[in-house]
Amino acid sequence: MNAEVAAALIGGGAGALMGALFGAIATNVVNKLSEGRGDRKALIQSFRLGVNAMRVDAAMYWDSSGRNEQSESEIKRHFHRVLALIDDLRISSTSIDIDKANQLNDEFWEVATGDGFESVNRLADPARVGRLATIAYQLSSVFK
Amino acid sequence: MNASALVDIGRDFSRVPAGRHVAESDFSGEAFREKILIPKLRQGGTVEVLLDNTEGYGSSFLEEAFGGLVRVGGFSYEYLKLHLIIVANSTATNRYSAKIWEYIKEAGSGKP
Repeated sequence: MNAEVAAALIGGGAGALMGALFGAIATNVVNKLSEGRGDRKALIQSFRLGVNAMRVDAAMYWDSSGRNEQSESEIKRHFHRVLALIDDLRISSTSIDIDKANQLNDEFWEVATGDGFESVNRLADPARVGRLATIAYQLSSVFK
Repeated sequence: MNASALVDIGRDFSRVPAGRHVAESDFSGEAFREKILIPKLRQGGTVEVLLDNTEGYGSSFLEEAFGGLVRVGGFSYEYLKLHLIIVANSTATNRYSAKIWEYIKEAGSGKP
């Protein structure tokens, strides 16, 4: 084997090694990105389910009058859960989306737990139910 | 300035604070303001209010308790900024804390 052939073989071997190494790294990166997308997709799904559960409980509460301690506690718990899910989405979302989600979640809480919330004299409020549905829809649509 | 007082709502008032007015609940925002907050603030020192350790709050409770300090109790926003410290150690209670200061400010500017 002359020197040129040996150099070509060594070079080719090195190239193949580098190629294999790059391939492995690239595959790893793609897998990580896919995992990240999967995680994000699952998180967004949980977030939307959380928002929907919050909307359903708040709508049931404001569809009827008077106190319902169980619903009142549940509405407050939903607010905390959705906040936690927004926090979980922070790492894979823009700060604009996070701020918008927090602002809409605050707005939902403000409307759902305002005025006669937790009052025996509270009256059913269909207009409020409609408003809550609109906010919940906007909140669910923040993360793509 | 006098010494500071610490109020842990969950320990000193209720783990389930609820409602706006006393007529609606013994653990309403009005009850908290009248029985605990105003007497502590009238002592002249700073009052630290810990929001953690409850199941959460409705906006009606927080607005009545803290917005009512201005609207009913006669305290100014500036006085409260110097004498009232809201302590919040979680994501949720931090959001409540921001709302409390909004309510105090709105009550000071005559908004409902």
